[in-house]
Amino acid sequence: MGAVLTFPLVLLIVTALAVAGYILGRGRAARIAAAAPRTLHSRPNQHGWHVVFATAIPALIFMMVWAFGSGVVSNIYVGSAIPEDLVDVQVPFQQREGLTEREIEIREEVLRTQFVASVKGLAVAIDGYIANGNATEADIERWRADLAPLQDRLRADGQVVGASITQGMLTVAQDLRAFNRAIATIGPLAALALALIGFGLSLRAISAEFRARIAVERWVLGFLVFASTMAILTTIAILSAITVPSITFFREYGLFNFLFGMAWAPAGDVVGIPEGRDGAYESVLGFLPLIWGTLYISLVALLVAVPLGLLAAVYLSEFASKWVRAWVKPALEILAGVPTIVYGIFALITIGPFLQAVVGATVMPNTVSVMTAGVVMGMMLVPFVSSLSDDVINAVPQAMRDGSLGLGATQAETVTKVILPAALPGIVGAVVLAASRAIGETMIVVLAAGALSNVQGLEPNPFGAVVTVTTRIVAVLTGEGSGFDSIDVLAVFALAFTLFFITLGLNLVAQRMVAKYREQYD
Amino acid sequence: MNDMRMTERGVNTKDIKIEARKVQVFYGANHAIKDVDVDIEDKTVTAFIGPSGCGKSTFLRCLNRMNDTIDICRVEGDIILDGEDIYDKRVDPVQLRAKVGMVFQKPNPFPKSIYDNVAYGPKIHGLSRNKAELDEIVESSLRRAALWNEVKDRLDAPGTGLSGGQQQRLCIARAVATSPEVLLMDEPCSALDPIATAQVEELIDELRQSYSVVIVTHSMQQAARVSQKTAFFHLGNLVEFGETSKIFTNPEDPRTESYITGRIG
Repeated sequence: MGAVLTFPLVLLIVTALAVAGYILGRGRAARIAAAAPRTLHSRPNQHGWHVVFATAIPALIFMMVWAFGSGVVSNIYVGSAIPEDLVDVQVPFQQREGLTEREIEIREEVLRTQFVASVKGLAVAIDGYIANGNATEADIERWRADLAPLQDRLRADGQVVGASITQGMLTVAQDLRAFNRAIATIGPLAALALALIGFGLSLRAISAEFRARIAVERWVLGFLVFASTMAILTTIAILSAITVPSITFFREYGLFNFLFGMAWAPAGDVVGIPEGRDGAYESVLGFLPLIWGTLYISLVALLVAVPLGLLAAVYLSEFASKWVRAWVKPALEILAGVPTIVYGIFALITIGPFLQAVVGATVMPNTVSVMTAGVVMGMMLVPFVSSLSDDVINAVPQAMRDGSLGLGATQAETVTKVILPAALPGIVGAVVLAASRAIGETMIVVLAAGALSNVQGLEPNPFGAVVTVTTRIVAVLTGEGSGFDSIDVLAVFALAFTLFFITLGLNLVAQRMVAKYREQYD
Repeated sequence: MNDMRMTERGVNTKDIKIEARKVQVFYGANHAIKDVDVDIEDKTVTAFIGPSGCGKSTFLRCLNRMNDTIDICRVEGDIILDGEDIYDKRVDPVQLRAKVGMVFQKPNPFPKSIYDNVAYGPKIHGLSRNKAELDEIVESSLRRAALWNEVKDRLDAPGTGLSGGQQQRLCIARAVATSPEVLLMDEPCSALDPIATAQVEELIDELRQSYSVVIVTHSMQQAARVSQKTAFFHLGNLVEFGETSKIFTNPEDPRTESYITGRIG
């Protein structure tokens, strides 16, 4: 059974309280004002707003923190709820032979991670099963004696059960469920209590002297700060979500094996660590072939996008008549809004076959290739590069142009000798930003670069198919049946993690260059 | 104001370098310059004075067709440089501007080294056959702009790193390096402090030896100090044009008198 009071319900009550608080607070302040005119420090509606904020904000913040924190807390709880001597998290005796202490330790850690994942999955499955009205809490306890039917029942109901259920797993899962229930009960109650306290206190505080306006301004300032930090917080949340699995992966597989591995060949798509394996993983998960594919395609894309985009920008900002500019610039910017999947389709059905027809099937066995994806990605980036370059070229002061033209330079000389050198840092910044987009680009490469699941070494042929970092992430995470505990899936987090840092680094470089450029003319 | 010096400086009749007849300038529908006739003499400093928006800068920019870069600007009438109409279809504005150099209100050195700033013009016009010749042009131009001693040890430093006054002298050196025949200066001292202003003014006086200089200025003292001829513009009309000493001591038009005595502006 679930808690009676849930967050949505509390949210509704808090909203009602806030509305009531506004009316009551405003009325109260108005009465004071009527009794003693001109003594009220703040206007009645400011008093009303103060009640609204004091009622709603602490409760809302509490609910957010609670909702976010309860996941973390219950994770910690599961970890502590696993008995040390549970067989599920021990390396079986017969497998210990020939392993060092350290190796055993690492393996036990892996087992624990997997066990925690299974327990959480099972808890969710049981919750779902009960919520669907198939059983009561008592039934679950009754079925404890024989686990196979329980597993079948859960599966029959459409619940996802990864590993086979063990006694230890069920015990910990039930513990976890009880803990979660407690959290789900306490949270909304506490939130409601907070709202009521805020409501009462703020209504009582209303008096002629109370500086409601200043308090309200502070609330609003808080809002603004919150809004501005939200994107940063989200980034941190994303990062933390991929960091933990990535680190697990690095520890299990080895950072160097991953970063400098020359092949990508996941062993299986279901459960990662094969039973009875003897030390080595069957999956070979090297980063190099994937980043090679990514960088190769990005290079081709930039070779297409940078000259075209830059020349387009030079034309538009320096040579085009007003009329041409008024039409071409928006048209280019519209191109930037075309969904990348559409570019991908274009690559797959038009550019790929065209390239194959041109270079021949011996050089280009498939329509998917580095060139197919790269050329189309380059076209996608043209408006991006041209728009950014156009901005930096326009930012070069008119005085530079006048100075050059006034010396008898032609327009072409002015562009190549004065404008472009002056805009160069900004243009380089634009190119780096484009590169970081190319590296992170997914849909085009999924459709047009190749979809091999195994790659050995680095493909040198620009007309050969390659596999990119993003393609692999998509393939593994959308593939069916793989649990989040398999080494192949963990590897994907490591891919995302590494990719994040590569693009982050590129963006930082770009930003610094652009900033350096800005300094020059301020 | 040094009236004594002014009257001393008797001006002999010299060759006419630029002859403007019935010049009209329109910005879209706005009639910015009306019927201006001016003769600019060779080896003379001619000052254009007048209140803001009177059209003096606009007229200056007509003399080397810098107004061509403004789409909505239209110029009518004749401007004859050495007997050739500069608005004739056969005239290439690029060649014209090599002959009629320009220094702008705000110092606008290119984001290049001091050397490259000065060498820019000679390079694009192919004025030197080798590096040694180019070095010589750069040095002599910087010397003429009275900047050589201050920068000779750091020719590779960026031109944008100089002080405002030095930057403006660098821009003058840059204009001088192309060996123009006429030098147009659009309020060249308005962004400078008094010391830098004095240096630039001294420079203008020296440049008069070899060029015809036209200077737009808001400072009547400056016009009196540096020029031999003065043209007073008001609301797009050329009100009075003549010897600087005469304009400042005995103007014919009441508007000129009002302006130089500070009653209109």
